[in-house]
This record gives sequence, C-alpha cells and structure tokens, in this order.
Amino acid sequence: MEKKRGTIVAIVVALILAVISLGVAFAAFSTQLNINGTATVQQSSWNIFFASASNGSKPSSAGTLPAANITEHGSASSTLASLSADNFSWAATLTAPGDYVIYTFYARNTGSFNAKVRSTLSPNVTCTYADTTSAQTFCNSHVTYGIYKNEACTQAVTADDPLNSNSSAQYWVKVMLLDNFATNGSDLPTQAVTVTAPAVSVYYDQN
Amino acid sequence: MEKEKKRQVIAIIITVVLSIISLGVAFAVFSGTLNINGTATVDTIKWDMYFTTANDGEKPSESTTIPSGNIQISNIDPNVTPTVTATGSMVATTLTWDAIFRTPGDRVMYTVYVKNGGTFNAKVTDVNMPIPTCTIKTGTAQQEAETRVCGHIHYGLYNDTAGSSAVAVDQTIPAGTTKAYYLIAWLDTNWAQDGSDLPTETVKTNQISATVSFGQN
Repeated sequence: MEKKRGTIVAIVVALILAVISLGVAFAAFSTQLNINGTATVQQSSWNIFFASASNGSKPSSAGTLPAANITEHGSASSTLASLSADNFSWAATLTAPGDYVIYTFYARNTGSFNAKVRSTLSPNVTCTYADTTSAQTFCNSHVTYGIYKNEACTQAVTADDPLNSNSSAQYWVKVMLLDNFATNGSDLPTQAVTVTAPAVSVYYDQN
Repeated sequence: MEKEKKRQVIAIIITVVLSIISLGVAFAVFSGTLNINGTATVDTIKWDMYFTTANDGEKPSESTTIPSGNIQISNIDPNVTPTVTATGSMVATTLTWDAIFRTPGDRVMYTVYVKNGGTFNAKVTDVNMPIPTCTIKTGTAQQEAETRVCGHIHYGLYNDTAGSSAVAVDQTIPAGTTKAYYLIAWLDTNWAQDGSDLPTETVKTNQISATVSFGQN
C-alpha cells in the first residue's frame, strides 16, 4: 500500500518537473536577423556659369564681352558689356527709331547634375531724361528689352528650359528702340534718354 | 486482595492495548486503490524565423538575389531623376544590401519578408540600427569630406513604404505568418545650395551591421 502511494507521489512530482522544464525551454527561443549593408556617395558637383563661348572657361572675374558677341544696329552703340561667371551687365545708347543692340553669350553646366531654369529676373528698364526727370512713360511705349534663347530674339528664356550636365545654352540679350513713333514725330524724345536695365539673372534648379 | 486488584488492572490494560492494536490493524486492512491513468501528447515544436523574398516564399538555403521588383529607386524630390544603383541578397537570417547614390535625395527601398515558420507567436525583442560610418582616409580635407558626407546617408527598417513606422520592440508576427518589411536608405538633401559641400571624391560607408531580434511572444 505504502509502496503504491509512494509510486503515485513520484509520478506527480515527475510530471510537475517536466512541466517546469518545458517552461524553461520556451523562454530560450530567439532569433537574430542580420541586415548588413553599404552605401556609396559618388563624387559630384554643381557648376553653372556664364561664358563667352560654348566651350569657354569659367570667368574668374568680370571681363568685357568680345566684340564678336555684340551686334549694333543702326546708330546704336554699346557702351558696356561686362560678363562674369554669374553676372552680365550692359549699357547702350539708342539714337534713332529701330536702333538695337544684341549681346550673345552662353550658360554652361559643367556639373554632375542636369539643371533647368527656375526663373529669370524680369527685365524692366528704367529711363531718365538728360535733365534727370523720368522718361519711364517714353520707355514703356518705345523700348523693349529681353533675354532670348534664339538668334531672332523671338523666344524668351523661360522656366523649365533645360540645361543638362556637360552642355551649354546660348542666350541673346536685346535692347531696342521701337520704330513706332507718330508720323509727325510728336512723341519723339526732346532730350537724350538714358535706358538702364538691371543685370541679367537666370536662376537654375536641379532637374 | 492487592494481588487480585493488580492482576485485574493489568488485564484491562492489556485488553485496551490489544483493542487499539486491533483497531489499527483493522484500519490498515480497510484500503482502496485510486488509479490515475492518462496519456500526454507532445505536438511538433518548432521555432523558425527567417528572411524570404515573397509573402509565400521559401526559406532561402543559399544566397538569393533580391528580385528587381522588390527594389524601388526614387528621389525625394519628384522633379529630380533618381540616379541610384542598388542590389541585395538574402540567405536564411542574413540580408545584405548595397546602394550607390549620385544625387542628393536619391532613395532606395527594398521590400523583404520575415516569416515565422514556427509554432510559436513571435515578437520583436530588439532593434539595432547603428549610424553609418565612413572610412577616414589620410589628409584633413578628405577626413572632413568623408565625415561630412557620411552624415547625409540614412537608412532604417520600416513597416510601411512611406518610412513613417519603424520596426520596433513588441511588434508581433504570429506563428505561421509572414510580415513585409521595408529597408529604406537615402541620401538627404541638406546640402549647400551652391553645391560647395558635395563630395569631391567617392565616399563609401563601412559595413553597416544592423540586427532585428525576435523572441517568443
């Protein structure tokens, strides 16, 4: 009898120990997943500048645009044509209706990234008479000024115009005294008119 | 008289003792057996967590290339063309990836799956994503360049394609199911506008050894 009771107790104890053991074994399950990687950043550059030729080097300082890049029509004459890496400044004298001056130069992209025009500085000329009074009304009616992407100066440079890596875009800046005066000349200027335009600015973004 | 009384007392005592003994014997004779009969069954026990290339994919026993359909390249700026070259492979519990970035904003996303092929529910117990480091070459300028460029490289393991929900501790994968994870790496756009801090030489990270650990849920 005692032997049977002892056997039963031993079995119960063994079952309890087995359950405990299983519990300990459950807590040990785990797995580590490994994620091994490398990332490389290749050398790159952002380099857009003005140049006087399609393969011209980047100007280290402002220089005079070559005469070959300047067209003076009629009695017009250019008095300033300064080109630097990021700035073109000009000045001209227009004497007779129909006079115009055209400057041509290039924007070069020698960087790694394609670019596109984000915007251009809206060309607004300011005009003054020799006695320093405003001639703006006169200019608004008779003077045009713009930056163009074709030699005929009919297509203005606009946003989203591309300038891909390792390429150049030719620009033409034209200022003109329109031939649209009254036949009796009543609206011809009585004094010399100085026309001033801000520096041409073209803003680029990565494309 | 005295002798007789003593003899009677002894007899009574003996009788009582014998009675007690008899009772004990009687108790010992009354008994029964209660039987405990039963059987224990041990079901199949399995613990198996691994990478796979598809929701119903098998466990890769040898290095398996991540399919091109599981690798998406893009640029953070939707208007910029991505210039990323990316490859990857996996075997069992190891995922290996490599990405080449050329333009700020370049981004790559690997779609991978973790399968719980065991009989226990699992949960994430640890996530370790070390910050990338780059080999520093000699020369102060190169050191500065590599340190600076390295800080523009980012990566992580996510639950979603947008990279907004990172894999984290206590997230679960029930037994017998598969979960999709997205390993996303990118080159940020926090560079000088004039490009003056772009790398002048190619910069590569040291191996990034990240881990995700699972335990029983």
